[in-house]
Amino acid sequence: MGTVYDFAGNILFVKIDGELDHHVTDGLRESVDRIFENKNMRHIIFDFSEVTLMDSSGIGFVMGRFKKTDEKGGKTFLVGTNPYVSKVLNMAGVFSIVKRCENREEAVRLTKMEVK
Amino acid sequence: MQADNKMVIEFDAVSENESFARAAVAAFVAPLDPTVEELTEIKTALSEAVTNSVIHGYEGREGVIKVACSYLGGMVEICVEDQGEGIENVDKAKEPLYTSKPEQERSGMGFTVMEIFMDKLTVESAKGKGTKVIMMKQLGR
Repeated sequence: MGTVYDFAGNILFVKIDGELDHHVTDGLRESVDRIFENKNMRHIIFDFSEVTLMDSSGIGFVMGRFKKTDEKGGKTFLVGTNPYVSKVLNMAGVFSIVKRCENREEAVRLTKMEVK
Repeated sequence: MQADNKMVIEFDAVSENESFARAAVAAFVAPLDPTVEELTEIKTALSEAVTNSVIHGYEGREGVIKVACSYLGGMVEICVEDQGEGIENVDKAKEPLYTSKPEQERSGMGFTVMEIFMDKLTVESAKGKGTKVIMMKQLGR
């Protein structure tokens, strides 16, 4: 249980589980940003496959991390978003800037393509 | 409103209680045997209203949030009430992507989520007079 972080090259992987709300995103934002900065990462791949519920706090959280990676010329990807989570993200048009991938491998492949 | 069953809970306006409110309402409506979709939508909409009270109603100060829930047949009514700051312009607050707190990464989608996931949304609020959000949803459609 809890959030799982790991890295490969300049990619930070964050696997979140449970319910992503205002309380959870407040804590998560701090840890993700700290690791992203300290480890000098460029891309973030979020695994949402264990996220059961997400309210609009998740929109701000994802968009905020998108800005962080964008400042470094990197990308943010989402993997495993369930239909409810996708519906909330879609309401704000998040998928027009943050790409949704089938799995981690596809996301990793896309980071390589973006770097060129 | 006339009801088959009703409940009221009051709790401190702290973010830890957002998950408590969702769990309490989910447990209360369980006898109606909602689908996973219905339950997720109710919990998400409720989460938006309670978060609004914590962030905008009391702005981190001490306060109490009251959640009242009732059902009649398959019609569920949820009322979330605070005695906080209140909203000066409710129409503006309901606009998608409008937020008074962009620096806190708020998306401005709270009321939009409530409107989409519930069948009816009423917001009663005035500056300095607190906010009352009433949401209704018909189950078993």
